[in-house]
Amino acid sequence: MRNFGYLIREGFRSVWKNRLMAMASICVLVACILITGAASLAFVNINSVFEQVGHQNVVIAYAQKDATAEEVTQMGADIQAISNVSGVEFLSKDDILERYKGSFSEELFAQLQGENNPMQDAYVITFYDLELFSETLSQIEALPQTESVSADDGLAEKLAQLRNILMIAGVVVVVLLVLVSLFIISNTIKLTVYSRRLEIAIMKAVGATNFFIRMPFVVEGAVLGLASALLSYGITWLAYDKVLGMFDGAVLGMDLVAFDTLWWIVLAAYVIGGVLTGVLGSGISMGRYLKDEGGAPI
Amino acid sequence: MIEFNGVHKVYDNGKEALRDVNIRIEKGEFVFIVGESGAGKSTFLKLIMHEESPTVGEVVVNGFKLSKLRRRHEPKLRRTMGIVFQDFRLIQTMTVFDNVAFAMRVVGASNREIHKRVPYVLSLVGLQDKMKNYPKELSGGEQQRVSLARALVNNPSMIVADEPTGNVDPAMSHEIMQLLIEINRLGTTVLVVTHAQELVEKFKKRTIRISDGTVIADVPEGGEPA
Repeated sequence: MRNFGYLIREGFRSVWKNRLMAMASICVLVACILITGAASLAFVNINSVFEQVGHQNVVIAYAQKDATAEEVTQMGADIQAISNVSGVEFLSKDDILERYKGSFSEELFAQLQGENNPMQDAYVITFYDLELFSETLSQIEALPQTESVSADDGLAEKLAQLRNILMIAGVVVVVLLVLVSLFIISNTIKLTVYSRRLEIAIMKAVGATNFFIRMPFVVEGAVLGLASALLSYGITWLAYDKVLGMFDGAVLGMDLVAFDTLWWIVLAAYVIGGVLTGVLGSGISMGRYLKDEGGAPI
Repeated sequence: MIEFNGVHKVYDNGKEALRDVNIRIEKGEFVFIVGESGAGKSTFLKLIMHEESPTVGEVVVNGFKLSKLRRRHEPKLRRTMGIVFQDFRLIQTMTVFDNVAFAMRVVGASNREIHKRVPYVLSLVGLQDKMKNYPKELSGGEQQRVSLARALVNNPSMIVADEPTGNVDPAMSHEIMQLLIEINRLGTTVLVVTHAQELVEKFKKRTIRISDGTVIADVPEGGEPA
């Protein structure tokens, strides 16, 4: 396309000519992108904290006191075979006793060695999916060699529920904001279209293709989207670091996600989202105009 | 070349705009279309430009059967004709040069072609010295010549002028008509819709008279008035 440069220039010219309206729509778009971005980043961090909590939220399964060594080994293999189990670590009763060494007098500790050890062999287990927490837990409890299981299942499941609610709310908010953005962009472009209807009529009369007529408006939409995306990126960057600083990079002892590991995803998502919204928004109003009234040069 | 075969046009609101119109205009002809306002001249033009479709009958323009013309092929038809409007339709924020160049740009011409062709066409209409002026700095006659240059710049085989002298003083009207006749002499078909009776009588070109939706007279070039 040899006139690509011309079409791009026309798009930029149009943004400048309607700069007040352009600024207004950039402001609204920035707001939409920021809310979407904040929701997504909050979600990323909640997810990260949640995973860290999940890994600390271990389950301990105790073997029957009279279980033979073979039975205990079998129990380990059985637990490992459960699909939701991500890790199993054997803890012998001697190991456990060793942990409580400080709680007993030396004399008593010596008596409790060997045959007299009151502790039970156990397995420290971690799960993949905490939503299946209670299910997996009962599978472990059902094993013949298991005597008891200790776990704090309330926390895990509440976290899983919270994450789901947040995700649904986030999706709803994002969809609404995308619709608002489309509406704003298509209205701005509609104004430009209106102010340039003579040019459009002449273009139609001399036989410009719809592609050629549409292009400057699409560029205008894309420019608005891109400008909003870059502005939002800058604001997000500053605000994110500030917020992270306020929390000292951690919540409830769990590390938050640093912006360094996220910046390119945020930038790419903003730019793609902004430009797509701009292009789609202008496409909507342009398509409608060409269909309804733009076909008539006389 | 324009052909109307048994064309009827009834608008959605029930208004009958054209009735049984049969016309043939050959390539290279100069034709006046005359008639009172509301007689059907505008509908006639809209049918030629494929802005409206006939209710009955067929319109063929420059080899395009318009009943079969897809919307996306409309630009191809429009590029075979140059249109001159009564109100000039010049873009006030563009210079004379840019107004004419605009018509070339939007059909994808390169800068080199534009810089070669636009000054040439402007010299044809006698405006080579006003290329850098804006429309508001020109007289009505000059503005109409810019609009004519714009219609000519893509080298169409046909010029359609809708009341080209409607907003121009009589002396200038004459000049515009002379230009159209000169363009016609170089081989372009020219169609002039007008109700300026004195011009029609003076230039004695083929004249098609429309009244109340029907062709009531078709006087050949130099012929007797009906």
